Amino acid sequence: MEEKTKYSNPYLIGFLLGLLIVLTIYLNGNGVGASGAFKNVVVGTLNEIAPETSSQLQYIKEFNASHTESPWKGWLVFQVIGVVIGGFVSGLVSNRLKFKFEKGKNVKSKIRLITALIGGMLFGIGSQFGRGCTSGAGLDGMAVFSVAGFLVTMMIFGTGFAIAPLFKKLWL
Amino acid sequence: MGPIFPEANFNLVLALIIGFIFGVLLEQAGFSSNKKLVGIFYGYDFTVWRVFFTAAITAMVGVLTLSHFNLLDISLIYISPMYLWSVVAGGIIMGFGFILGGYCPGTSLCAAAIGKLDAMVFILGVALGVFVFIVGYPMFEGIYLGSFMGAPQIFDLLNISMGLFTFIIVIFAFLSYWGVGILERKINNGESYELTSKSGFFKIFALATVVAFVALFMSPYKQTLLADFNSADFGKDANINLISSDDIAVRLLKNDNSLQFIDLRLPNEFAKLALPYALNATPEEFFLPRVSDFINQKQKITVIYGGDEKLAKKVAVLAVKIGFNPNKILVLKGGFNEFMKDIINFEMPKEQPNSSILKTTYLFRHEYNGRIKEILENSKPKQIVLPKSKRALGGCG
Repeated sequence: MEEKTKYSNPYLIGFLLGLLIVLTIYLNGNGVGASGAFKNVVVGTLNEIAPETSSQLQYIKEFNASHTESPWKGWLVFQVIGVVIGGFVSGLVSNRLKFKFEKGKNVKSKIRLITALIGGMLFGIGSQFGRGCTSGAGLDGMAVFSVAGFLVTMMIFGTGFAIAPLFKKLWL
Repeated sequence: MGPIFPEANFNLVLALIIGFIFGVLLEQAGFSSNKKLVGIFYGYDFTVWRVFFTAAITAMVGVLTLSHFNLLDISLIYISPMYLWSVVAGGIIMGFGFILGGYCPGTSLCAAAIGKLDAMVFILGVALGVFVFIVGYPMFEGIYLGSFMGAPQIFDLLNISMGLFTFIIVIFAFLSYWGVGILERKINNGESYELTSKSGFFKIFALATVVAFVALFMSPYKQTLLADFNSADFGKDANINLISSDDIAVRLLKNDNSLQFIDLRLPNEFAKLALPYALNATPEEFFLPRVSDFINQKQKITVIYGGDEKLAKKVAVLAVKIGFNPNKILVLKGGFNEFMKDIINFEMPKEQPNSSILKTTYLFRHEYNGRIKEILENSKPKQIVLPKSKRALGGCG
């Protein structure tokens, strides 16, 4: 194994994360999230760089019609900026800042590059169908006892468990 | 009562702060490392399970507790809508994304923040994926918007109380922590990422059991109150001020604007004839802004009425328990049926009234019932105003 780095107690982190979600729900009736911010950023970018072409797209039309404010000003966008800063500060404090290409020990860099990109794309597409990702749909959904939240969580992790053996070489 | 900013893109600085804490927690848990994340799928590291499940049950207990003490109205928070096949497809696609990519969107941001280059590629991928979805949307629309089932909650689906569900899931979570610890040791030849000592774990488990039992006996305040409301004895001994049909009739004639009306009858009865500018509402709606905004407007006194006075009295008690000012709530004596009988459809009795007051009343009714009916007819709502919901918008799709 490589460097041993000390992480916090998972139950404590989970407890604090749960409290944070309750606080967010108490404040705005909504929880934390990530994938929604990606959508805002993509729509915002398309509106900037190719306003004519993108305004022809049905999805963008509907998005712009249902959102009065600029997608850049979405609360999730700011929250995600916070996540990046928070992650950075935490890494700084715990001495984990380092440029690194993290991959399984027998995996070529090219393969890791491709799988990271495809994995990200699948998450991007899947989070649209799921109306949120692991945090926004799964965790927040479970917090408010929503059936969709429980279902999407079970589908994400269930699929992961089911197909993990097929992709063993990527990680072990 | 929460949610405090249901409609808003609320304070963006606050969003930044909440995101910051979220980021610190994810990073401190170790979720800035893909090996730590995929560990759950290969059984060598169940940290994801521990953090995720603990966060979920903490949040569930928190939401239940807040709503029990009437601090949070769960009918106003965002419950993710259920488009069955879209959720299933999305979950499966994300499952593949997780195994291949090694991150999920939130954790990839943390990983990128501490310098993981593969996470940066993953982030690019997520943006590309969203782009693909946007461009291909006409193709996906069918499944995306199909099989809509509302926004069901799991305890309703299982037909158990919110408290019982919380109880079960908290106990299940802790049993699973014990189970994954055993699995982890087996797969890692004796080593485990369980950072809690055995005695520490049992202490937490004991505490969680207590919490679970407390949760078992909690239910959302609104639900508790409505359950009470539906019992026969509710509000039996409460002191509610009544107003008579004649009193209202006089005020209507005088164009007195100090009263406003809430009509509890069925919409079709309401549409036929009702008191001027009355709001047609159900008892459940007294929890919603539609009714509360109405009652709280200006300095008016609200007269609640139904067909008879029984339901209206109960609703008045309910309204006071919800927190409306008891001095500003009246109940129409005898309900709208009596108002119809005594005023609108008044017929002079054959026998002579035995007191002069009664005689004056009869004369008044006889004289003005046509005029009152006119007032009621003329004030009928031109169109039915649909209730405006202030449920929190959003979600993360």
